[in-house]
Amino acid sequence: MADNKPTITIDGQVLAYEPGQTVIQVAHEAGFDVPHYCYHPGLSIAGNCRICMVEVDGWPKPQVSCKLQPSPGMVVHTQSALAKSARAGTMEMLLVNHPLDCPICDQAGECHLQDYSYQLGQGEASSTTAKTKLPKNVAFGEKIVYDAERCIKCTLCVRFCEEITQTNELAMSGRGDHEIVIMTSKGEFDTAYSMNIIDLCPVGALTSRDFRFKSRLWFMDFTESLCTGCARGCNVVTGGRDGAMLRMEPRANAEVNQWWLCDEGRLDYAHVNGADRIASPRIKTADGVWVQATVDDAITAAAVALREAGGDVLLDGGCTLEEMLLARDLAKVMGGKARYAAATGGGDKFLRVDERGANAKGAEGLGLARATKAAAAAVVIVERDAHVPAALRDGAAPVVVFATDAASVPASARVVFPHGSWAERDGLLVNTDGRIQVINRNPAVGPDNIPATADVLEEILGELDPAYDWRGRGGLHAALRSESAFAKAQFPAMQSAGVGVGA
Amino acid sequence: MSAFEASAPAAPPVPASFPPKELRQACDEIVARYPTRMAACLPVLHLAQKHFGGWISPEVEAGVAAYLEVSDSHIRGLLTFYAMFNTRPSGRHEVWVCRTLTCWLRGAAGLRRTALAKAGVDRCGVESPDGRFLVKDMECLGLCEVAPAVFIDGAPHTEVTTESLEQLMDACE
Repeated sequence: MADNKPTITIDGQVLAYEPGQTVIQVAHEAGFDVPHYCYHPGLSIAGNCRICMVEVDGWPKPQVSCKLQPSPGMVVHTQSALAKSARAGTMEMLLVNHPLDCPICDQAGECHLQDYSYQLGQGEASSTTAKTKLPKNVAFGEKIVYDAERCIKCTLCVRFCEEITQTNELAMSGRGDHEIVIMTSKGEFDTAYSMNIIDLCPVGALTSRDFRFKSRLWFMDFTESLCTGCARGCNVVTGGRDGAMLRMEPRANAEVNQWWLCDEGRLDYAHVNGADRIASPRIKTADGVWVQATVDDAITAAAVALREAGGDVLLDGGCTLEEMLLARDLAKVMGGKARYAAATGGGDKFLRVDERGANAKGAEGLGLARATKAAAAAVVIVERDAHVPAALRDGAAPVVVFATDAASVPASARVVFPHGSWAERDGLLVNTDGRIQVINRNPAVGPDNIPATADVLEEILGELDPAYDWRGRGGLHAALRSESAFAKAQFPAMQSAGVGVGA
Repeated sequence: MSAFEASAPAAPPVPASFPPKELRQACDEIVARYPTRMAACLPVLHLAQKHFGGWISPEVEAGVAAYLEVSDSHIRGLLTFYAMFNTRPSGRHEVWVCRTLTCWLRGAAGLRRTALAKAGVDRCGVESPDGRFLVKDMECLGLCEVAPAVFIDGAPHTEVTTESLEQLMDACE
């Protein structure tokens, strides 16, 4: 190695390591799939599940690689007969008292116990004694349900409450085959981050009261996106099926949210599944009756109405950079200015920030003013009522409205376009630290065939300004790069629409 | 009533002032023996259990946690992990019956039945109705060569028979 770092050999590959790393970390970095339950890169090392065992040359017994400090020249085998038999033994022991109720377990399909059972298990148990009976359907606060029989006692959830939130709601109680996780006398979760223990749980012991029994994973579509509950921009994966968003879970990003997500953000999709979602454009006729319209007709009608009205554009602080840029251009054509509105409050010392507009920083970068009191605007784009409250919407008296929910359309509107929720739109958001990140459309969420708000805005611009050239996403990104605020910013590559369950 | 309401826990305990005056010096001496306050958990809990009538109430538990500057959940874990701590009122006399291999082969099962019958309870770990006994199963007591072994109030008795156990328990107030 060029820089004289110490090395170890894993399965014949010579790998450099940093002091302080353990063997499993070196192996994972190099792409070796060493199984693990109790190990998590964000938590202290417990070494209690014993599934990560590897063979080390010169050591008589297999070693737990999550706890094993490398020493220069150490030779490790992850796939030797000894390592494999050690893991198979561990699997058998973990399954001795496991109920094997996969057919009714929410974790099925994303369960490490299942995965490793396929890889390492043996299909038959040597034990013929009855399985222990332990508490099931135990409430851990209002959002989480615990099943002690499925639990493999990895203590990830206990360590999370100790080390990350430092609120100590959970403890290990008892020992041996009667060891369970209990909530300590406080009874309720004090932390706003409790649901992270559901993601941490490698098995189906901790399930979300919100998601459980709603859908099998393999019927769902999962998309990498961002939480838009506040301006932190935590990286998430959205999961949807048949038009409904069913859950959201964090995606690791060391720079933003590490591995975590707050409960409020995680459950912040009521408006996505709202009963009164607008699914297609509507035009108000001369008699004041709303009729459904094609996108093209609505664009024409909007252009007519805006030519007449002119003025400002008021948008939701959760709009993407592309939408904001187009709104600014549209306002310019109409002789007005674009403004944005967003709620504030609710920040804490961990992830959540007071600024709730997911792209407020982006709006500032584009020079948009923040709307704090009602003022006239010809176009209003609203996803969340909290950002653009009724007073601002109605006070703007817009003629063209992009709205997610029918309830947010002011009476003055003459043309209404459906505005997809954040889970249904593609685009860039700038988080509170000025980092540009991507939201992606989950194809399984929201009404079918909603036109993209950015596309509609561009079409309207084209109608109003004969000299306007269609820019598309590439052109818009080029335009954003030429903005002084984003000249030095790194633009992320736009990602594919979806990722598989295992990603 | 939903499952959630059914399992809603009791109100949090009020931390007792711990240590009480008479234990203050002993506790401080224990703490001074270790590099961290956390390391003093077990000896302080044993002391507290002895002082507070043979068991650790939720109030004492919270008091010890506060005194040793560890979380309540840490103390709870210790109390439930170690068999020698009682988290509910114990009898005036504790009878430990060894349930590990050698004693079991030499008749500990019969001793256990005798002790339970004498105490008037149907299982281990609960106080007898008259408040006299608490019978507990114990893992190996380390007296295999003179099995079966029984401890009464911390004193070992070896090669115990059902008759001698009855006599021993009769001798308890």
